[in-house]
Amino acid sequence: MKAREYIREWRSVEPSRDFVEETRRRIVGTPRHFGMLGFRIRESLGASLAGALALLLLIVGLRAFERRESIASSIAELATIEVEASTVGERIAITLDEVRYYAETAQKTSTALSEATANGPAHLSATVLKHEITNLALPKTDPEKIDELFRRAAE
Amino acid sequence: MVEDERDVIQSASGGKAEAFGLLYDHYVTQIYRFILVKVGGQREEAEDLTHQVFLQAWHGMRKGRYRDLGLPFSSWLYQIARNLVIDHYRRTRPTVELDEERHDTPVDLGNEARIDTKQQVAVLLRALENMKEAERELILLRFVEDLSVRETAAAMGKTEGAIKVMQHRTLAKLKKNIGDES
Repeated sequence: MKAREYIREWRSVEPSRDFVEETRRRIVGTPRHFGMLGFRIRESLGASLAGALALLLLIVGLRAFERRESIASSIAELATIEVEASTVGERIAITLDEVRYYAETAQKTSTALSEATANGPAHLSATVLKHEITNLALPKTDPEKIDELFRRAAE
Repeated sequence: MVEDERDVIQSASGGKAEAFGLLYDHYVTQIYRFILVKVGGQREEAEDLTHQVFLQAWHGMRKGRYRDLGLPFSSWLYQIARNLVIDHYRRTRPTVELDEERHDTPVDLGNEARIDTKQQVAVLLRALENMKEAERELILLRFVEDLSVRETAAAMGKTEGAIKVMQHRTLAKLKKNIGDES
């Protein structure tokens, strides 16, 4: 065998992996990077993060697709709830109007009663009543004219 | 070469462990092989020294000991490895010169290496054992790791001219030791 062949064989001699790893750990204190991968991995950190983000979006999208039908039914339920709420709102508005009306009426009644109490029973006096009757006196009507009007209406 | 190695080295010098980790990943195998030859194919010794090389390099970078002189980062690591191996032999075998070191124990490359690889590496190591320390380093850096003349010179602390002169003679010597007549 030639000298160069011995030399070539000598190049295949390597330290044991256990020794290499153990010495590295004891000296450097970190696990071994295979070749220059350590630097390359760091350089591609941005790409890795982008990939992770894309994967996350994909998962979220799949989950949304799976729940699409339930979302649609939920939307229909929401529409129903909205109609019911609208109806309830109208009822509440009506009730509020009634409350407002009763409040105003109560106020006016209270005011009228207060005035009546303050003025005393003057409005019950005979003079006043006679005057009121005079004002309220209806114009006299001719019964014959009324009969004539009914007859025409019947024709 | 590490992509944007200068930026990575700058980050590591600023204390960023992740950046030094990239340098470690890129150079640990060749530094391990370099040391493995120097310790005669003894896996455990090679692993222990390789660990020390990178530990020392990491501490050195954080303390601003690494200076970018336009030389490859690996040259600095090889220099650290060479010095650590020399210190290792001074501690463990103070009376034996490095060039005279002989390993009687068989080559141990661990269970992961193929059998034929172990056999061929054993032949290569025996051939290298008969060579001087500088010649072994030159074979490893110039022909095994394919470093340029300039890089090899920087790692070995020699001039490019000296490396050019040495490399032909050293390769011929290796061939002779292996029995390669080509």
